[in-house]
Amino acid sequence: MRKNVFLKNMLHYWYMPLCGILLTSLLNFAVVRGNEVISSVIDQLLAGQEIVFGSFLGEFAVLTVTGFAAAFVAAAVSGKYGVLVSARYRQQVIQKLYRMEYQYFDEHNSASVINKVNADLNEAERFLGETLVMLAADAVAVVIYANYVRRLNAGLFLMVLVCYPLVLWIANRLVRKIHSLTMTYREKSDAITSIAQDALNGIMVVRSFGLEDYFQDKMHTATLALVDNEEKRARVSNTAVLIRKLIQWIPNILCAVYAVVLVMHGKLSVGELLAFILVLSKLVESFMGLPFQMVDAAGSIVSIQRVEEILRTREEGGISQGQSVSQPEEEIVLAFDNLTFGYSEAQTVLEHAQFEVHRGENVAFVGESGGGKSTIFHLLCGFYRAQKGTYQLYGRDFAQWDIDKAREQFALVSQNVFLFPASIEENIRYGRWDASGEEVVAACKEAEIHDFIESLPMKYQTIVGERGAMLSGGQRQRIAIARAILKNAPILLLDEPTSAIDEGTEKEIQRAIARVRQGRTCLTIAHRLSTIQDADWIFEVKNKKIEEVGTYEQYMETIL
Amino acid sequence: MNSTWKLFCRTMRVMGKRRFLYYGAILGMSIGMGMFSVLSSLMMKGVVDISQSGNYQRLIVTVVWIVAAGVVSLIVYRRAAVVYNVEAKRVYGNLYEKILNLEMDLPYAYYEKHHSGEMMSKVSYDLGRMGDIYGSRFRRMIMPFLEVIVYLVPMLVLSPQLTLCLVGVNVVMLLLNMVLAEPFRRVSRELSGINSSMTRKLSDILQGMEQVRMFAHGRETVQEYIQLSQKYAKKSNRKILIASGLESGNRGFDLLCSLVFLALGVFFVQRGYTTLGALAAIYTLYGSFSFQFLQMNRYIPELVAYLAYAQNIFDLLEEKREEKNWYVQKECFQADNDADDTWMAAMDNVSFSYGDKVVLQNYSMRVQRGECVALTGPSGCGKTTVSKLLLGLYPIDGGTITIVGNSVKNMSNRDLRVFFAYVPQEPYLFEGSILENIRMGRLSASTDEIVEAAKVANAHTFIMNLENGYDTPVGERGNRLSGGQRQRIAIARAILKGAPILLMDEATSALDNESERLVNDALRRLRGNKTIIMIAHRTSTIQMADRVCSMNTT
Repeated sequence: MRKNVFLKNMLHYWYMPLCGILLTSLLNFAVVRGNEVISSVIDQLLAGQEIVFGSFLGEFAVLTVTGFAAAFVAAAVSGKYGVLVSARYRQQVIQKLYRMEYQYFDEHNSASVINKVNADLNEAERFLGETLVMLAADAVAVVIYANYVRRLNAGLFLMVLVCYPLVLWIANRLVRKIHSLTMTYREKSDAITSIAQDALNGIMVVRSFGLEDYFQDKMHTATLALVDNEEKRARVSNTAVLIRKLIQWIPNILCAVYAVVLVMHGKLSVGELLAFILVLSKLVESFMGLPFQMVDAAGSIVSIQRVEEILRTREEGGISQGQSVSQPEEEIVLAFDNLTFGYSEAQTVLEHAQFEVHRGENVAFVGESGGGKSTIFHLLCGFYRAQKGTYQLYGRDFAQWDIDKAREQFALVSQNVFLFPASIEENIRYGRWDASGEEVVAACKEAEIHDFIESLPMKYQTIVGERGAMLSGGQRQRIAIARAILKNAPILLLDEPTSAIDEGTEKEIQRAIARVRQGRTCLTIAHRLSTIQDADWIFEVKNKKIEEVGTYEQYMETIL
Repeated sequence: MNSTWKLFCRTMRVMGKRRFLYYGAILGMSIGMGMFSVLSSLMMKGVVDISQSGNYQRLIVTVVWIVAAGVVSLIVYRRAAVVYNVEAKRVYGNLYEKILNLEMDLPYAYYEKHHSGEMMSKVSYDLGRMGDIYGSRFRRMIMPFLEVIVYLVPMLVLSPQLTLCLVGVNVVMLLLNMVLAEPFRRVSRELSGINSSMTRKLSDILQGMEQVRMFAHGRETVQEYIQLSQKYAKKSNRKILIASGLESGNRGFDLLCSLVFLALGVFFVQRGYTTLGALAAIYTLYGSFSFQFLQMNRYIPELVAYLAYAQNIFDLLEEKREEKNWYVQKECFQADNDADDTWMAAMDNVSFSYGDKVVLQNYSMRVQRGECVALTGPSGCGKTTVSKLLLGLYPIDGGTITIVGNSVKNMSNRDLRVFFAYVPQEPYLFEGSILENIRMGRLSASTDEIVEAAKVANAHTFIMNLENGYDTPVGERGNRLSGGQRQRIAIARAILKGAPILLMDEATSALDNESERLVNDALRRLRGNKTIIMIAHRTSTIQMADRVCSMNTT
């Protein structure tokens, strides 16, 4: 059996639900006990005995206070339980998301799918906080009340036990049948909406052809059809209500009549009959609730299982080796040796790839889009694990690096820069959170974005990202460069945007990049000739291989 | 408060006299459903009474009577529910009819100001919510009150003393609910605030995962999420306490009611104020009663919120409508047959401005019968305005327009539009088949006439090549057909109308060469028979014209 983290969390605080169930039981016992007392009192009454109220009022007072307290504590404990378990779960999930193999995000990169994680987590919380509590409370109530009925009379118990589930089942079957009938008369108002829409969109034609009356007649006909359909639908669906109500009444009647028969034969006292009737309504109420809660629970479990799947995915390797590399002196900074990688076994992106980058070099990668250039960058940053071959960073196998330490060596500027929905300053500061304000401004000046930021009304406090100001690709790119400058990592990975950027902006970006490159090892995925011109060395990614092309001049010869 | 009440009354008055039927239906539903519960508990009363008295022969009779009455009350419920649903849908449909009527009557300027797609989605949203008032909100609000009354009557008859005690307890519970409701809402709001920042943070992390992993600060971002989650858990404590208070209040009172009720009941029975049977009946009714009682104030705020949507619709319906006639109120238009009809359309010294912007000043243009005139000029010079003025979409500020010798000042807008067959730049096809779309030119046209028009418009051949021929649905906004095909259908529609003047507003500007040729062929066939005014800028189109009128920007 695969381990289920959610279940483990639930069991972690096992004493809380136990406590909740015990207290709920206590509450229900109080009701049962009250009923018992009353039924015997009534029998005394009917037997003509004098009733001393004082004899049981005291017990009632105790029962009531106990009930109040039990209900309060039970509710508080189960509420607390839900909150604790889901907080724990959230923490595990987020830590997992931070550590899991990056491939998940490639496969699920659309925002809606990713946001499903959110919805699923909330659903898990709802399950704990609401559904589970109700389910447990109803189940406990059913068991205790049913047991009480059993003690009253075994026959009645059987009657309740058989009648209700059977009748509920029949009622559901019937109602479902009727509902399939209703489907033919589904609520429909699309027709009138689309007529109104259609007429509005073609208003010019409507006016010039004098079609006003035509559309009004059409709408009127559609309205009549709507009303007619509704009448049929309402008839069927309300017949379903009627039948359900009637069928659900049957066990009530049967139980009551049977109880009378029992009294007639002296097997049940009138007091007990009364007690039975009083408990029956409570029993049925809880009993009817159970199926609904189970449906709810089933829905939540699907959500939880989706989250569980995330928790089961593989994690990135090489965590917490704890080896710090302050200033690596190796001459060969990066090296792929016979490296093969694919998102799946069948589909390889790189096969036996081989390349080296020396300290301080400025290399460019060229090749068709979709050929795996961005994948190389992601491999370098340890987002993926090679299937075969090795990748060495500063002469040491990447798998032996502490992954966080390894990533500190890189500043990555992606093609599509993601900006957090926060201020520009915060976005830049992400590069190094403890940077001073002056350092942030200096980085922006270097990245040639400072003037632009200053021209915004809110300057560095302008909110960007999804809900914020819309920035152009070039502006985003430069913000990312400023962020990279602030990070001050020895290796710069630059994925040029493919989209056209106007000439002025391009010059600014070029200048910024040239400045950042100083004293760093730089790898660029190039789409522009101007970028390649500056490169010391060019690699072409082609046919799943990384081929050395040589210098710019040599490259130009090959493509000419 | 007062205005809300007025708005509510107005919303209900939309139903006209039928609202009384609607109210009756809600009453019928409440009584039907309420009586069913009452009968269920009367059954329990019967059972207890019979066992107590030992009069077992009455058992069958009692059960049969009560079951019969139960069936009747459910039938009443069903009937009322059907009427209720139908009336709710009817008023919804009628509202849509009113909205369509408004669409037909809004001045054209309104559409130029409002984006039609946005307008419609707002209208359907508001109208959907307003429909919900009739379809559920109002009933949900009012039914608890009605059902409480339905339960109270028999309960009071069975035992006024016990019933009053129960009502007292319920009032306390209602008060407790109301007192705790506000802090509960406040805490919930706070929590949902934290929850949504948690949600946002998680989205950020997921979407920016690359950055989160590449920068040292990423780990802290993850920590921030965990802290938020812990803050949420902590803040939840208060909510849990209030919720537990409510829960224990409800459950505890439930218990208290059971016990006190039973103790009191036995006391009353002993004193002979009531019977054991009544006790059983009231007790079984109590659950439904209490449930409805606590629902009484719950749905009022929702209903009030929904009334705002009704207000939006009312506001919209009060928009100023297009005048039937821009100039004079004339009952009936009779074409003046003796009028000088050499000039099919004549604009003399026409001035027109959009707000402050003067578009036409002392503009004159005359078109003879059977002439084909092309109207050209740079964009923004007012070509399209000319066609809109001819169609009477706007009133002119000065000068005269005469159509077939009749001044537009003597015509209603509809009368005026009879003279024109209009083909817009973007042909609009309505949902439905090609046949239906062409027929809209003249609704009384026979199928033969439609085919004839399609042939003239060079549309017949391609229509016949479609799988379903003329019955092919054009798809939403006609997007199953090419632009040229749609334009030719629009021309067929215009031809079918049989109006003396064909007015084409850049009808070929969006077409490829081949489609344009086909459309121009069609136009050539019409030359001579019809007066054609075309706004055009393509030389190929202009070449066909007998005469070219150039316009300059004013």
